[in-house]
Amino acid sequence: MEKKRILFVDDEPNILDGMRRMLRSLRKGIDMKFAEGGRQALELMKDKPFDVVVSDMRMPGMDGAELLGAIQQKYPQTIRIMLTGQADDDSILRTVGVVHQFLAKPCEPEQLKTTLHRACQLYNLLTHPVLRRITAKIDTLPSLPEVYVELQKLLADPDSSVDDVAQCITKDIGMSAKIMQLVNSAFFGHFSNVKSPEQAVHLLGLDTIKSLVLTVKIFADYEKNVLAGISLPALMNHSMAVGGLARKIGENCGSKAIADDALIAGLMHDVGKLVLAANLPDEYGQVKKLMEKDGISCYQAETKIFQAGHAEIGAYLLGLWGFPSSVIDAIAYHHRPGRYPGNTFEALTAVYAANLITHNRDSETAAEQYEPDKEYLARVGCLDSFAEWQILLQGDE
Amino acid sequence: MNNFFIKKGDNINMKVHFFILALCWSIIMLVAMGYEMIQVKKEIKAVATIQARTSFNNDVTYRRWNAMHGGVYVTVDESTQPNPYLHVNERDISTPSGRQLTLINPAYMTRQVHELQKNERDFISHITSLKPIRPENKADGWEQEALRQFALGSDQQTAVTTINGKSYFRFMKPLFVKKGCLKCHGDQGYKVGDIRGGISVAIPMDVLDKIARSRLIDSYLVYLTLWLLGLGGLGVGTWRLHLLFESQKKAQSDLADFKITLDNIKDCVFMFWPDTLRFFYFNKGAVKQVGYTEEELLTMTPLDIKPEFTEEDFRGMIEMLVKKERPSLTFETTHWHKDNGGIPVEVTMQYIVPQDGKGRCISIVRDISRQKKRQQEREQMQNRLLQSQKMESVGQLAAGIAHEINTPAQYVGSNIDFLDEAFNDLAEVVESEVKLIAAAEKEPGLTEVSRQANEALEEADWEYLAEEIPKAIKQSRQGIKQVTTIVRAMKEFSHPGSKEMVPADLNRIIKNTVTVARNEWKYVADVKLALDPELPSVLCLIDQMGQVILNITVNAAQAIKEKLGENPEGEKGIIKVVTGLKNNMAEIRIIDNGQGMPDVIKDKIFDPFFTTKEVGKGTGQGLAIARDIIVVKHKGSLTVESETGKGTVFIIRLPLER
Repeated sequence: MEKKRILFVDDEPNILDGMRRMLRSLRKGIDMKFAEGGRQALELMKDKPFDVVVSDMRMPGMDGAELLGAIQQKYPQTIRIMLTGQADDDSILRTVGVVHQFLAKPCEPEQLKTTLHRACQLYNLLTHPVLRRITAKIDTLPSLPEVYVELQKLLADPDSSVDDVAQCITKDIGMSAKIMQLVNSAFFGHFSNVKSPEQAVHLLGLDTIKSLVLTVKIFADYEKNVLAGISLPALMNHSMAVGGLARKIGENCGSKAIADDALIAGLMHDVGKLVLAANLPDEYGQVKKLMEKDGISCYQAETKIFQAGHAEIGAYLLGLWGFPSSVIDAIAYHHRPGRYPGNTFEALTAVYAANLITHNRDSETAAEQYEPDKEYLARVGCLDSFAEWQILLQGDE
Repeated sequence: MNNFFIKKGDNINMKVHFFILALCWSIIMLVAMGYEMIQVKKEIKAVATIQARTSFNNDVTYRRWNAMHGGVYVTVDESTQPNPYLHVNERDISTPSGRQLTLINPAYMTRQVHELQKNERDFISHITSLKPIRPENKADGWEQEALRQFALGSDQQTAVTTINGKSYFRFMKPLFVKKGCLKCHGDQGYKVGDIRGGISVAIPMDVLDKIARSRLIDSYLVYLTLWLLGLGGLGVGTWRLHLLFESQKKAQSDLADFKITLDNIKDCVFMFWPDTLRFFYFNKGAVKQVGYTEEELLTMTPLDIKPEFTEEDFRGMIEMLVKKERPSLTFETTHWHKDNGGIPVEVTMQYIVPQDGKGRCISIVRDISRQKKRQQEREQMQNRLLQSQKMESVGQLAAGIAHEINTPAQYVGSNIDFLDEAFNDLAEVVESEVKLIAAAEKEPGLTEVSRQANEALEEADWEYLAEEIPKAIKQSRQGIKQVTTIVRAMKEFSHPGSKEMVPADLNRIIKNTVTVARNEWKYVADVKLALDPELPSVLCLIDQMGQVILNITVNAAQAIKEKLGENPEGEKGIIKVVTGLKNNMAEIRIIDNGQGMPDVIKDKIFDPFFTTKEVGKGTGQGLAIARDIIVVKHKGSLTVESETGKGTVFIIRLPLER
């Protein structure tokens, strides 16, 4: 396997030396380069783009946000990580659009290593370079026009509470994902174990949400409800249903932590569709035609056209955005759990089952009904529980 | 109330007063009129007596004249016939011209005059005797009685009797026998000086009454006028008296109104004499303020209720007022309530000299405890604001310092990690070197080299290094981790991100706070955390919750420090922080085994500015702020349990949902 190339940028040479020494053990898997400023970093990128860039925020001349912004434009497939001790919110807001993940300085060696390792692993998830580039360039996801309008109104109204705003944002998967990204990846310093988009909104607080939405414009203002043949409201409803059911299944069979992950993964499992529909609308339009023509599933049609499905693309995006690996695995494998190596009940199990059950409920014809992967269910020991889960959904209605 | 203002007037009913006086006046007038009537009657009688006596005297004089002449001759006519009872010579004679004359003796003359009188005037004179010669001259009943009285020595008799149905005043005097009389009456055996008879005079009473009546009417008119005048005077007098009373009454009621008004104003009014300092007036508010009875107050002076003044100071102030150096003095002091102790007041003192009155001191006293309290609250607010501003700037500073520390912390951490890995690799190399040396020792050509290598190993004390370097790295790693934790905790503690209520992990807040406050407790206590990992998020203001935990933890550490005292052994107490769910509320218990506190202090610890610490050691605000944050801002509860000598437990309970 080709060595992954990682560029470290910091104006403090001691930090760079420290990194080099610390990551010595990874020397076999990664090729490290070091730059003491933005200009030098871009020079190095020119020769050969790096797979991952880790940059400090505050530097003389070109600062971290500018550097990563430039890289986002020129080398969109590069994974962009910010490592800084900066605690000043205003400058952090500037990085929201350009940074995939945010690490606080001082960063535990283990955490840094894990993050880098996961970033490198992500490349295995999505091998198609074009899709990788498209996904990595994304800083925002399509959202429901009416939700966007409602949110604008709420934020303009001084009487709105953080609860109102949270309720509004959680109606939209794209917005929820973006908010979760910000909270998950230490953007604001100190959050961890975020359990739901609603909690993420609460953690950020009304003022931060306001500046993010109104000033930084983290949410895109889409005008149409239908993107490349996908009805956004239907997609949102489906996602909500799957998220809710996945959490229930998680609560039923696993721990609270699994239930929390299952909810998030359930909500986000079709994010890949949004990415494809928004960025490759023409190609994505063919997916539906192919589905009808060959009588295959959406995922299969996607794979035929793009060499990758929405599951991998969604997982890749959320992986870039620093979502926990259990969530990413659940999304990546939710159409082919059999290829997942795990043997125990996980968020993936819940999301897979929830998606299947919800899909079958909403499908009109018998031909569209999917059979559960009994082999996988048996492997994780949930074959018998599957029937109960179906009742869970009915109980919901 | 003291009756300084009101002289209680005798409230007489003016009408009754007037009627009694009028009655007295009328009685006086009636008595006077009665007396006048009696006097008039007496006068009339006297006049009648005089008249009668004059008539009698005239009769006597004419008779004497007649008797002196031995009778007079008069022409005989029809009415004047010769007296048949006169038996003297030459009783009847004739004049040369033939005119018949007859001798008229005194008795006959008197009788004839009397008859004339009777005819011409309503005036009866009657000559009479108990032994009349002429039978017509016989005495009537009253005359006979009078004559008998005369015989007994009386010289005059008067009476009012009825004659022929008519009322008469009667008067009678006796006639004594004279020489001339004996001419006719000598035959009857009288001697000179004997009482021969008498002449009675009767004056009709109606004439007298008429005179008397007109007299009385005149005088009654005078009395009536007098009576009316008197009544008028009395009326006017009473009216004026009434007016006087009325105006006095009005003045009194005005005064009463004024007094009631004074009693009802909120401020207290005291008046006292500048010389004796004794109170002589105080309104109800004043009585209420100081709690003494009116009687007690009247014996007291301002000094008795102003504990902050000495008599000398107070008199000095009064002197300033009396000498008009200052028109008034306003000052804040304390008034001492009889039972409840001091009250903060504002006093305005003036010296006033009323018209025609004695100069007096007046104090208007206002209870300013509420203002004081408000002012205290304001100061408290300002204090808190100041403190929060201080916290904020400390926070900014901390964030800056954190950033400064973060950079070296980052590379120190990286380097330690590197050293660790590198040493492990190196150790493997050296271990294989050791084996190599051991093997080389047996090779004859290599003994010198291996000996040198062995020496180097021993010189370097490789075994010691192999043992200690990993330890040193481990400790350094722990140290840098601690630095990182502290810096992060400090950053989070001072700069928690959100100013709104957010769902937060109380356990994390507690960990951060305990880390930040480490210096406060580490020499006196060990902190044990028993945090429930299942504790759900609680909506709260993260920075303020951190502040509460900090304040209480610091308090606990100080309680332990005080219990340990000098502590040469370096003993430590325990601060235990326990979290958990209780009755659907998140509960934090901060338990220390410090000195505890008695109930007296326990009840006060949440009061602002209450402190048991020395001056300068604490603002006394910590627990008050904690209470404010928990109870007011988070709608939770903050309670304390404590036992002297054993320790204290602070219990914070926060609602999970709002």
